[in-house]
Amino acid sequence: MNLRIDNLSLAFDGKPVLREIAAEAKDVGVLAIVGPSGGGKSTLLRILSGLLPPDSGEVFWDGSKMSFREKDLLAYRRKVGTVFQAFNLFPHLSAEENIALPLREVHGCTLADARDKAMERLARFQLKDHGHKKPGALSGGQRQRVAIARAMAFEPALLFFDEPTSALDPEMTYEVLEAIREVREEGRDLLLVTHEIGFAREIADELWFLADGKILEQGAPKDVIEHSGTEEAKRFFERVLRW
Amino acid sequence: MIRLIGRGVRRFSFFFLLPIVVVAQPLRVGMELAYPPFEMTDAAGTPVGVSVAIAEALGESMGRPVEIRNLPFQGLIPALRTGKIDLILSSMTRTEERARAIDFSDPYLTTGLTLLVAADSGIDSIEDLKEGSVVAVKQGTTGHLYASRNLTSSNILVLEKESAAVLEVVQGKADAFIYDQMSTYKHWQRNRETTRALLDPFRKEYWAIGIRKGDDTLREEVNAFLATFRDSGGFDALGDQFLQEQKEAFAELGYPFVF
Amino acid sequence: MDAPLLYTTARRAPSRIGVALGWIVALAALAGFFSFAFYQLDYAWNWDGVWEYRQKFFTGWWTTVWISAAALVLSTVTGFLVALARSSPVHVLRSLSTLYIELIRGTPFLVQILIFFYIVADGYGISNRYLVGVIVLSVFSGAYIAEIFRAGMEGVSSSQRESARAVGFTPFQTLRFVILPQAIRQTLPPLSGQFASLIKDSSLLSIIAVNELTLNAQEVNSFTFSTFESFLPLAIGYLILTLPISLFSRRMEERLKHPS
Repeated sequence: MNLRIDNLSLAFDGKPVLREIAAEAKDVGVLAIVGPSGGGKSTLLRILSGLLPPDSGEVFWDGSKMSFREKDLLAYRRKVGTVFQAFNLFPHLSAEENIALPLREVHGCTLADARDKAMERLARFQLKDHGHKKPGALSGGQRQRVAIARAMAFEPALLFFDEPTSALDPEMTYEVLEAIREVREEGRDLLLVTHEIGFAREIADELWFLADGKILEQGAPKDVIEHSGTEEAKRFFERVLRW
Repeated sequence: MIRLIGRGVRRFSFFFLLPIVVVAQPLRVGMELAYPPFEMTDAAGTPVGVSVAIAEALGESMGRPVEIRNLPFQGLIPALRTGKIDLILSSMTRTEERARAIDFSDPYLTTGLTLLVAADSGIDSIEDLKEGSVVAVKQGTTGHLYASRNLTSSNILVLEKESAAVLEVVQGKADAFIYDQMSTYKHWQRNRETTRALLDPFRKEYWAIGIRKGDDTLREEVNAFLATFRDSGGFDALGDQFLQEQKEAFAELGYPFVF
Repeated sequence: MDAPLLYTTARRAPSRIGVALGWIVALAALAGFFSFAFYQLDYAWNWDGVWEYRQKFFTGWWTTVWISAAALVLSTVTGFLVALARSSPVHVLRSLSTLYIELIRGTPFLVQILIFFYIVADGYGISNRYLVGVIVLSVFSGAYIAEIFRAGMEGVSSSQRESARAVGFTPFQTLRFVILPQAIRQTLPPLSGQFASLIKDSSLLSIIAVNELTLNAQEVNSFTFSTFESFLPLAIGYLILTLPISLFSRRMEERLKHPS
């Protein structure tokens, strides 16, 4: 992906959340965004994944400007996949149906086609036997993997992850991170907001550090983590990597 | 000195009167205060009307204070039977069915069932009310009873309130309202454009006072009172006080007056 | 049978004998309570008189049934549409629906019946009182159902809405596939309560001489002077209609439950 952000701002109820952000990622496979809570990471992800228009500023994907009109955002959302921290799945539908329904209704697959694709995806994540279960009967890790399967089912151009493991215990966290790694190995581009700094360092090509509404660091993960210039970033990484 | 004695006597006489007051139990008279000029309330909400006046005269003759209980018409007989009231004085017609449930005094008023009809209904007598006509009646009255027994091919509208039944006729939703003579006259007077009154009763009715079965002493007292009241011109006086207009109209139309 | 939720954390299914015993004692206590009252009154029962008029009860009950059924369907449709209007982005729809809801919920049904029948219907030339009865009952119930639906829809968490958007659903698709199926589970208990209320509220239509169960029971009472014997069948007549509704709703709730 080639992503450029220019002067992006957003405020909620008068309180600024993103302050004139500017950053660039050239020819990047995985972009990871890290930073302290409340810094604006989730908000930035929502703007980039087409869920929220900014108050001002511009976003460029591969050189073309992103249009923030609702009609265009709807079309955009249909081309990308998003996985949230929790509550992704529709609790009244089975895991398989959670994947098949959008395939039929949004991407125009036939009933049989959608079912096959869904089962295929579930099998990839070792969830074939759980396809008929409702989300309530699945563990947190399984739910997130189904969510990833759903986001990927229609071969999206780009995948967004908003702290996908923050609500999980260590074992399930491992499951999900492995699943994300597999997704990457299939060759998809990812944009990942996470607290798992170790994972980010391993998998990301570019790392942005976002704090208090501003991007304070951007660059190769190793560089940002070990040789950050700003005080906030230094302090953050020291703390995070201590334990 | 004399003043002190006077005060003492006054205080003493209070204690003398006390037992007399305690012994005279109130006479609870049930009526539905929605039937002017017989049972109604004045602007302040106090019961007033022909029946109220009769009740008070009755109480005076028996030496008992009168309590007027305002109840819906259909609830009067149940209230009497369960002992909530002692008498029903609510312009109630004596009928065979009712006489099975309660006792009645001698009749004190003669009237009859008449029709209030819509002005353009083309109905001139009870005979015209046959196939498919719409007849309004008030729940629990003799008009209701008559209609349900005799007008089986008509569509009977049973209303809770007299005013609603009149409204149905006025608005043309009902062809006729079966009710007593005096009320029909009054409603016709109030709605001269939209209604006509067929005031010749197609069935004679007698109003009497309702008494609990077995309460024979009370019944005899009431009958005695009614006789005296009539002889002393009590009813005539009431007629002049409350029913002046009806008295004149009936005289003009050639109908005998109710008392 | 539902397990007692409040007092136990252990999820033991209640024993059948225990439940049956509970019901027997409760019903016996109720019967005892009323028997004592009647005994005190020394009431002379007159069931024959009422039996003579049994046809009236059936006619009236049947009228109640079809009027309630028609109003049930109509009010559910109305309520649903009004609930959508209430949450719609179009301001005129919002104000109209809010006005309707506040007016109807804030005034007594009896007043609505009288105004509607003797003034509005008369003005617009609708003379069939049964039609008016169904309409006014539907309008009345519809306002309450609209609020029930709205609460149900809002009860679906906003994260579900976000998830639906992320998947690429249009607002209509979100409503149809995500919000409504989940909202229905929320709305079932209050909705069934409202249906039972509707059936009971239909008794007020007697005021405009609609020949339903309550009016007929009152008539029998007028003819026989047997108040209790006339009104006991009345109570039973309504129970026959409302009990199945609450049982059905309970069954549906169990079926739609999913562990969250």
